[in-house]
Amino acid sequence: MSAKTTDGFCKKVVMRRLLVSICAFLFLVTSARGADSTSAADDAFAKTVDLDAIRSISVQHNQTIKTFDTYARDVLFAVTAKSTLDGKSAAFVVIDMALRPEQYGNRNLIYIRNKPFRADFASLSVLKDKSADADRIVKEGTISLAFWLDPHVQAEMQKIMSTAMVKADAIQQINGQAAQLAQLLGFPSGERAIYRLAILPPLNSPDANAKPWLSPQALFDDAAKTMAQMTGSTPPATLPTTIAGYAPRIAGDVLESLGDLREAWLAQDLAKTQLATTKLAAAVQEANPAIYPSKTKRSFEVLYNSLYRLTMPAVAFYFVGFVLFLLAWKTDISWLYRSAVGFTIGGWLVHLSGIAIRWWLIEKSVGNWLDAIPIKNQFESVLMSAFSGVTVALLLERWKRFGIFGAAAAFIGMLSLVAIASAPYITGRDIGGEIKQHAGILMTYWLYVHVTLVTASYALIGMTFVMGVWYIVQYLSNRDADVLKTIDDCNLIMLQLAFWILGIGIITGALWADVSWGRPWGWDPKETFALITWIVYLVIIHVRFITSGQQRALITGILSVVGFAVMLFNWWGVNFFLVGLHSYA
Amino acid sequence: MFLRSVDWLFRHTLSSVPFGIALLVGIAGYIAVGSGLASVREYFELDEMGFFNALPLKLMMFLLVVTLITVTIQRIPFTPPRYGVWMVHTGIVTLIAGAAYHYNKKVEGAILIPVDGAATRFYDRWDRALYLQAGGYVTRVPLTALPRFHAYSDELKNADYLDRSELRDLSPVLAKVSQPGAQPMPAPAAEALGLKELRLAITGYWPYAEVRTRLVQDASSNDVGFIARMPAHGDDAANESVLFGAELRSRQAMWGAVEFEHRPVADQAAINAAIDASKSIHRIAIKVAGIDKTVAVQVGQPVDLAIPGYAMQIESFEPNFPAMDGTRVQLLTMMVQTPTQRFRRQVISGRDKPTDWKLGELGSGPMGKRQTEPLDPALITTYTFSDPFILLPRNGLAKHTIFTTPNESAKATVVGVSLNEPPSVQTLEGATSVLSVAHPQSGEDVLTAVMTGRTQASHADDVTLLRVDHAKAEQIADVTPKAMRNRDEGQSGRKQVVRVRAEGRDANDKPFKLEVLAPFSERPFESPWQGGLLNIPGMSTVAQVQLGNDWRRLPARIKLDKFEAEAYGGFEATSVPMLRDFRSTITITDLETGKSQTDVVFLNSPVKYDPSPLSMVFGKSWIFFQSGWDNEGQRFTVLGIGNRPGVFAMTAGCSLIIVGIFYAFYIKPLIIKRMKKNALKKAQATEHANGSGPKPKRGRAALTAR
Repeated sequence: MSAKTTDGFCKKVVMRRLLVSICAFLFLVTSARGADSTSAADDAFAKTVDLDAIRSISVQHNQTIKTFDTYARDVLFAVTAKSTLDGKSAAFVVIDMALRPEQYGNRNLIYIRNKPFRADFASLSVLKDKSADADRIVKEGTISLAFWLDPHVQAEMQKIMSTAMVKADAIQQINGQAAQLAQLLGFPSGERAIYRLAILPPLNSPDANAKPWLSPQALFDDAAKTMAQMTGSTPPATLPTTIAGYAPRIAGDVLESLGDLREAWLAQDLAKTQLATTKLAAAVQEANPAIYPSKTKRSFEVLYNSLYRLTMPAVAFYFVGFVLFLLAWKTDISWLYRSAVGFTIGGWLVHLSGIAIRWWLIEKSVGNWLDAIPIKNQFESVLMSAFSGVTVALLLERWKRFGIFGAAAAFIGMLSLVAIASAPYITGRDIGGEIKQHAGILMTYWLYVHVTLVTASYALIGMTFVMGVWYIVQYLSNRDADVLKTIDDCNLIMLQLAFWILGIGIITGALWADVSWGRPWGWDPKETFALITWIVYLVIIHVRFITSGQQRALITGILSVVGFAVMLFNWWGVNFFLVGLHSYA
Repeated sequence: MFLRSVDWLFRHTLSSVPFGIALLVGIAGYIAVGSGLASVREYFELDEMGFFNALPLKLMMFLLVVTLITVTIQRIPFTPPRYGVWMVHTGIVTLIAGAAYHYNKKVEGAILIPVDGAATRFYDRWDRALYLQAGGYVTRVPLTALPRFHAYSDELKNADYLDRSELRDLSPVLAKVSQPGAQPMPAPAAEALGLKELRLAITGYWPYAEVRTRLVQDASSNDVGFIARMPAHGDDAANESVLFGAELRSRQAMWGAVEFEHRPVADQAAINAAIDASKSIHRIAIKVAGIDKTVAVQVGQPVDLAIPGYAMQIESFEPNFPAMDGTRVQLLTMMVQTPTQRFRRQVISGRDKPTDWKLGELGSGPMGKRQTEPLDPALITTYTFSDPFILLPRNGLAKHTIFTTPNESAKATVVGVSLNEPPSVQTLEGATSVLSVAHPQSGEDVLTAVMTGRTQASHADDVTLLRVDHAKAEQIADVTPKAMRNRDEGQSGRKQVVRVRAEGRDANDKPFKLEVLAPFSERPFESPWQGGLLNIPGMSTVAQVQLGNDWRRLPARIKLDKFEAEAYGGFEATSVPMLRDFRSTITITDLETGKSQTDVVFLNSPVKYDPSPLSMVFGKSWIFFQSGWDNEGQRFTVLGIGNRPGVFAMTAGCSLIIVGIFYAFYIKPLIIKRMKKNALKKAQATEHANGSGPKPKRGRAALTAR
């Protein structure tokens, strides 16, 4: 084939690609209303549609590389405080929002996180004659985008804003959620979030994180520009060989597959939907395979999300382990004890996997192993803390074989993981489960040392709490001297470890504060209550000098409970009730 | 008897473990209250540093130290198993001693340094001062006893709290130049200001308030003022502003992008002149086809040319357009139609050559394609900008100037001038009148609207003007309701206001007394001051007072060579990126020796400065850390600054505590075990020697026994 013919052929291919892409994209953007479908059909479609391919494509969101599945969960949670909607997965809902926005504008999706503020809705004049609606908002705490954007509601919110700063903050927060939902629905511009998603890896980038990823919209804009030039009065002599830098075939595949996806989605055609998503996934990966995240990473991320970030599977193991430890303690049957240890070790392994996978995923997102250490927010610190405590307790169990350390380990592991898995849904707030970049001040080895030590000591304090309660219960019900002494001995071992490690943790915190804030100790509430926790244990140690026998052990048990309460207040209460510099801890 | 009491005290109280435990509980309770219940320490007007440095805690700490020493010496033998306890107790005593010294001598604060700028002083984080500025010199008087958390004033009937010597009879020292060209010398403020006597005192304090002007009626005044009530617009809540032309500081107000100004003038002729001027702010001299004429033009309006084949429409006006040579110019953009072509032209006031933009060219931007030469050289347009009455807005997009004359008591004329709309004139009559105010669009909006043909209906709101005759302006501290307070502003103290009373005798020995409100200035030496003007009759210069954080001298001169903000990768140019680090390259120059060192301060990596080799041990070293930065660019850094007294002792104390605890928990049991074993061995040996014990085992048997 001559050079000229080849050139002509290429031109034809490019032209055809461009035309098809633009038509597909135009159709998809301009047809604002899709066909209404029954909810039963929706549910059936949602249940059977295979979104595995699109779930695992990579997205750059908030300067972090994540899968579409993670992105969808993050944005849906930000708006609704839920990870699913009517039993439909976040990925399904986010795609559906983009393709059938008319289904969502009037739905009560925006979750009002500030609970006291909900009462203000009852007094809105627009709800004057709609007490049932007002009651529902106060009770459920959800409103629709259409309701929020109603000019009367906005006008009244303007007035409310000027009455209290806390209300102004609540309104700003809802504004943020409404903006995010509007973006997902493509309101009012018609440019839906899915087409603005940064799913195309940048070209000429040393790694996936260094440069901004591109969206299909960029391809469309560039293709439209080229088309305008070609159909203009003086078309250029040579055609551009790329679209926004990408090979026309890839650009065409991306735009076409998005058009096909919409068509198939509205028709609820399972096969075509799967075909379109597979084509899209293949095209974006092919855009720059050198820096595109590996399939293993993406698959693990999707799996990690679907398994509640590996918290609940570990909880299941810990729970069984704990019950078996109690039974073994009661019955003294050795196989029960062995099973209890086995299940707790199983929980520990799943727990370890959860940490390891999370660390690995963060590393892939932020690009540095040390920076990726998962101890930078409440979710991660509790995850790591519980892990440290369970590890120490299991080692002690291996040494002493009383069953007490093992039971405490299983209980604390279970309690901690249940807390972090459920807290976002109970409080409606993200406690750090989302994988994202962190404030620069946290990127230091001091964090790794200080937070690891302090959270490990907290886990041990949790163990002393379990043993303290156990001692009190046994003291009140049994009074078997040997049993009580064994529990007290175990409690003392934990208590000494907790006290010593917390002490080092506080001192390393002071050293960090010295380099970060210019003074080792500033009486910040977090610092102060950590010191008070330490003082409680200092008191326990000295009380043991002036008491003896079961009285000594009982006071130790009671003070262990007090110490745990102070620690809990320091870890969580200070964040909610007091103002300080440790907002992330 | 006394010695017996002391002996009893030491034996039964200070060497008692329960007493030590009670002290620990007391200390824990005290610090829990101070940290967890801010209202308690605020009740006593104590900030964190004050509360944790107060007598009750010092006393408890002292007693703890005495108890620890007593218990340790009296009850804990200095034997190997007890070394751990000794270490812990010694460590706690050292830590407390170090901390006591630390909080007694600790100084901390911050300084903003622009790139290539230098600093020799910084602002203290806690201490405040009253600053006085006059004749180009600034001085200050520390206000050590100034409250921080509650308001005190005569109106609140609690001003007696301020009646303490540290806040009364303040006598600042200013610089005085005795004769032209001479070095300024320190002199009492009264002398420097040409007064016989000047005493300043704090008579009111508000921790969170705004200084506002209110109008009151005073029969002796012939001045007129207005209260403008603006409805909510955009992100701005509804508000009320005073427009009082008789006082410079109260004559202007801002509402969104609209400015208001009240301007009293002598008579109607002045108003008419202003109205005429508003119509001829933009004038264009046109030469074409033998016609030479100058016309006044209005933005958004066609130009009345009356030249066959020619038409012009003024599209937009930019009052501060950055020209290619870096200067700021007035720029007018217009659409031009000639007999042969249509193009866009931009003209700059005072410059002959226009910039033309060709329309409809492929690849051209929204303005058209920029031309290096005029598209129609025959059409000469020279633009002249003239605003002698300052009717155009300075910061906003539109301005309404309210003119009043003394003769017509119930009438006012409002001249409205917008950057992109034709001027307007409204007449107001009566005590209450309504001014219709359009929300202007920016030049960009107007240009887009013109080019796309989608002109938007201009939205207007009613502003109610309440006229106050015989008005006098009075400043008040308008306390922000607690619900509307911003936590950061409250903590930083940015909203503090003091009332300062100035009294004394003027140059003619005539007594004077006046009170002004002085707001808080975050950086009194670098930022402009608001309010606090002391209008003392007969004073040789204008004086101004301001509240601010006290300043302290730096141990060295710090120059900011470079500041870099490092963002995480993958952010778009249009978005605000999340930042990974901030780096300030600084050069520290010792003020005495002139010795310099260059270092980089970044997050979690401060620069330590030791003026002498043993500074660290004696707590004389300083630390500079990254504390703040420029959110909008990389123009400056904010460095946190602190000295480090007692840090060495505290670190030593902490180390002793940790090692001691480890020893007590994990080494001591081993030592005791060994000691027991040795004792047992010894006992066995003794028994054997006495012939009563079993025979000592030898070889393998001995190992087995072990």
